[in-house]
Amino acid sequence: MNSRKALFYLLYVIVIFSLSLWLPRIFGPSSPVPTVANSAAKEASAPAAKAKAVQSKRMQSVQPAASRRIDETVAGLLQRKGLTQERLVTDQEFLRRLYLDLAGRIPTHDEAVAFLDDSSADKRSALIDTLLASPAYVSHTYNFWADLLRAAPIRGDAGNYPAWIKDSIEQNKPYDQMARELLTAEGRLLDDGAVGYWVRDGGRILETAAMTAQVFLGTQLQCAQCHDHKFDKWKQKDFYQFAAFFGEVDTRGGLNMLADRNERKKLRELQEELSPQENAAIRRFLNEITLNVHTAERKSLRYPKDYAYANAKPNSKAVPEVIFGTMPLLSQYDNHREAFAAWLTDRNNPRFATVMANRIWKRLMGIAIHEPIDDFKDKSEAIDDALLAQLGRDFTTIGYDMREFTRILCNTRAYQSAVSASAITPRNYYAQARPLRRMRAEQLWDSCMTLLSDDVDERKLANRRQGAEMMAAMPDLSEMSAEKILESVRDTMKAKRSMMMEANRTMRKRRTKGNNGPFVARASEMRPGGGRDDGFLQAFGQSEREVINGSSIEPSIPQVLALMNGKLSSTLTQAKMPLMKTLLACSSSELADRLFVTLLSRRPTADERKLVRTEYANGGREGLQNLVWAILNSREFLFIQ
Amino acid sequence: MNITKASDLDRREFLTGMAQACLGVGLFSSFSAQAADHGGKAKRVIYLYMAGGMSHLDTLDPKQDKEVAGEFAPMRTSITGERISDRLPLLARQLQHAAIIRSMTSKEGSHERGSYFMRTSYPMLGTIQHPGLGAWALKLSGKNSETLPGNINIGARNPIGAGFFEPEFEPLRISRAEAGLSNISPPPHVDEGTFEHRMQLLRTLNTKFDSRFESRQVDGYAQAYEDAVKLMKSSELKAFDIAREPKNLRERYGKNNFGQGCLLARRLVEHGIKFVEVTFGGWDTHTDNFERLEKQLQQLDAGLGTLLDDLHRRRMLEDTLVVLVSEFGRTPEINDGNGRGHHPKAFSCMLAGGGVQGGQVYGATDSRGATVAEKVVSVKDLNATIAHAVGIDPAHELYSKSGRPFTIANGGKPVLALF
Repeated sequence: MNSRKALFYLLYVIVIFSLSLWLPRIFGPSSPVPTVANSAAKEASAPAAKAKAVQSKRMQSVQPAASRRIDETVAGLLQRKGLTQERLVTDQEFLRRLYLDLAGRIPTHDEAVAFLDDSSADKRSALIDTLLASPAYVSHTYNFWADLLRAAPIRGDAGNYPAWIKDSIEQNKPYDQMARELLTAEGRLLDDGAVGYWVRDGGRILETAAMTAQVFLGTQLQCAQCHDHKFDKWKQKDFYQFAAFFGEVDTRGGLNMLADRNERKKLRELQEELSPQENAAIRRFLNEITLNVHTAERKSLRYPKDYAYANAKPNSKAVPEVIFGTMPLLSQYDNHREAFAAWLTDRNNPRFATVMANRIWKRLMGIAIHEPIDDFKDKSEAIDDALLAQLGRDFTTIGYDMREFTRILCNTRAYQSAVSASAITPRNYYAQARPLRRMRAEQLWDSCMTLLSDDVDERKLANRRQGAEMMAAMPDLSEMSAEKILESVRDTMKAKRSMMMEANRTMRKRRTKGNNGPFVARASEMRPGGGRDDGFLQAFGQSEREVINGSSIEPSIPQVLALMNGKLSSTLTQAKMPLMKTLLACSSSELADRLFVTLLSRRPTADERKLVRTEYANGGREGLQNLVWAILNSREFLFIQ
Repeated sequence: MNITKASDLDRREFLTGMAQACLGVGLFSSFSAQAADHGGKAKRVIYLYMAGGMSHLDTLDPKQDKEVAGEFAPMRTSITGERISDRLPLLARQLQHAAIIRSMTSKEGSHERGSYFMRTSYPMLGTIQHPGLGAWALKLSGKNSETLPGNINIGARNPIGAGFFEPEFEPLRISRAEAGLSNISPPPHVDEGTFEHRMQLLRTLNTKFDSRFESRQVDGYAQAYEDAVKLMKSSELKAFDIAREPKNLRERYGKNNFGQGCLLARRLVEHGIKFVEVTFGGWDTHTDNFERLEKQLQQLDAGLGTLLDDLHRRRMLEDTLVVLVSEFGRTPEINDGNGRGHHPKAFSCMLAGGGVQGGQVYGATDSRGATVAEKVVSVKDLNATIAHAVGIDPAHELYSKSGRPFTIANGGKPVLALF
């Protein structure tokens, strides 16, 4: 089109775009609209109905417009399916659920009381905002990302990849920016944690390509890595053309960055003079500080030597080509990965926003609008296409702000529906109710940690980031002589060692006093399979981050044995631990409340008060210990309503 | 139909069932208990995994070339004309029970990928977790015991699990043989009475919840608690207690994790457990190969040698398959640190019992042990051989949730000459 038309079109787009951003803010949430919530409330008994109506009105008066619109779509969907929305959750249910969903742990006793006793109309929205801004949110959301990206400290590196992820969450970096930074990362892992995305699979770009398709596009390309896909439309050629965008990626040659060939040879000779152990340690250190990714322009991906199809020659160069949408003009970008990132994060890319919006929905609601979350096909399998599209649009409109999107979802009536008595599975889910789910391994561990300490969100492990900073702060070795390099390396290793030892000393002091209690830190601060938790997290299904989203919430006997007989529960019931100490200091009238609010975030029923009274009367301190043990092992503790 | 979680039954499950039915791979496809070629004799497996890349040149395939051999020398064995490292004297006298394979080969040279490949027959991918051999064996040929788990791992921090199979096929981990099963009894200050009382309290607390919700997961946990308590009270638990073994036998196996692990493995399979793996690390001898192997081989010799003898005396060798394997071998070249690097191109492993003909050596490497000279056996072929011994058809397909077919050996062919 000619330049004048283009200008008008541009102006038109800018006006519409601005309006869509500013209008909601100017006019605010609209007045109450008859919804399913209102009509359901009328059906209940009078006082309960009044309470429900008040709650619903409260909800609507502070509800963001986007949340209301989602509820409208859901209401329409339910009506078409002949379903009714489950009742609104009580404050107690909301409190525990929200803390687990946003903070990744149960609330402390005081946090719980503060919410339950608060009478302000907008307390639910306020709690959503508070939790989204908390360090607990960063810890909890880190687990989500680490599972998705399979982020683990790489080959002994000081955990820079996890650190980058945590920083990004803390800064509320928009999703598209995160994606771009990961995909186009360049340089040393020490200087840029996003490099971890490429180093994770040791530069095997076919694997990173398969992962990229699954993570960012929810598309299963990997079957086509070895042959034309059996069920889906992808051909092996499609896979190779997709992966070809990453053909220039090179993670090798790190040691070459270190110094020129002569100095490297001299360095090796110097190393040989040291003890074998120190030599090995230095070699590991050098490997770690040179972990990197860079663009090698002359490198490219080739079809396999045994490529069997007629549409390309074996061992020939694979040319980058997008699997849908418009192919970017490669010459306009610094390298192919930049072109790919631009294509991926383009606002018109139908899958980019939707896939993540769908993931976040699942994370909060329990089941996604499109299941499975990683297998989007041309023919949609969403429970409602309109809802899915709306979520994608909303997410895009707010600039891929994940916190804001979470806020919008938590403020919906759909999110605040109770768990239904009958089983909800992907086959009968239409957002009518929350599915009953067990806590994830990290949520369970973190909840136990909450019971064991007063400052669970502040506890960090020996500062791995500090180690990385030390190594990154080393002088530029490439100009140095071999002797100087060796000296610099040994100095840094020594400094790092004493820093870690000091940090470990501090950590040990913080360990639950007295016995060999569990290590008190949140799951996000520990390496999966690292053993600091005596295998608790692994037993309860934490992902080892070898596979995308490899976690599980299925039952197993070792889990049950750990919870019944393991160190965690015996430490929790110890008389000198904060939990028991506080309970034992209670008067008999406060005891039941304290116990139930601390462990289950709710007040006890009359029967439960009786049970506590009897148990304490009969067993004293041991009686209380029995109760704590029993509640910890109870279904209500383990499952999220 | 491969029924996994009810909540995930969907189009793919249906497809899976259809695929199985239509493509002729039914649930009861040909795994016969006793094949004519002596397959299917192994009712149980003891899988000894040497983690780190065990040097084949310093163990089962020693070379005369002094430059390659380094500090060890070959010694005679109970197989006429065959020699193994002189640091394995006890094993050398037990080789009439065993078959050594010297022609193993692999393309995976890193520990992570190499051990994953060895244990699952598939290359490591970020998009799916494959089941390990133990999970396959358990899934396809069933448990032998009511209360005891069928798949156990002794010694590994993060053993290969059940992958996309159901969680019941996950291996039960025992970190140290002497410690037995973790968390199997309440802490010392909780006596039986207190434990029963606690369980009663728990039941009271759970009643309302369990009746309120219809949930497969809740039922699953109710069942898991029942099974755990049953296990705690099981008379079969004594299988895990190696203190019951005679003192001198314990000493013969060697008072170290591996030796005691072998002893525990024998006890466990005796009590009906199908697949026990003992992981023994420390084989990654990039430096000081000979110094470190002295100690390693002494432990390996005592443990494995005694195990074979013990199984033989108890007449258990006929139906117990013993596997000795590592992810790859080590280089003929000895480096400046007096060590050897990774070498997947050619390496050795050993099979004994379970229908495998003892007293044989299969395949060979060149004079330096660098490449396979005859009768190549790939990792997939080895796993197919193990499957064959256990009576599992290596071609038997099971489907992941996405409908993809997988087999225990990923296309490998069993080495029938070994039987």
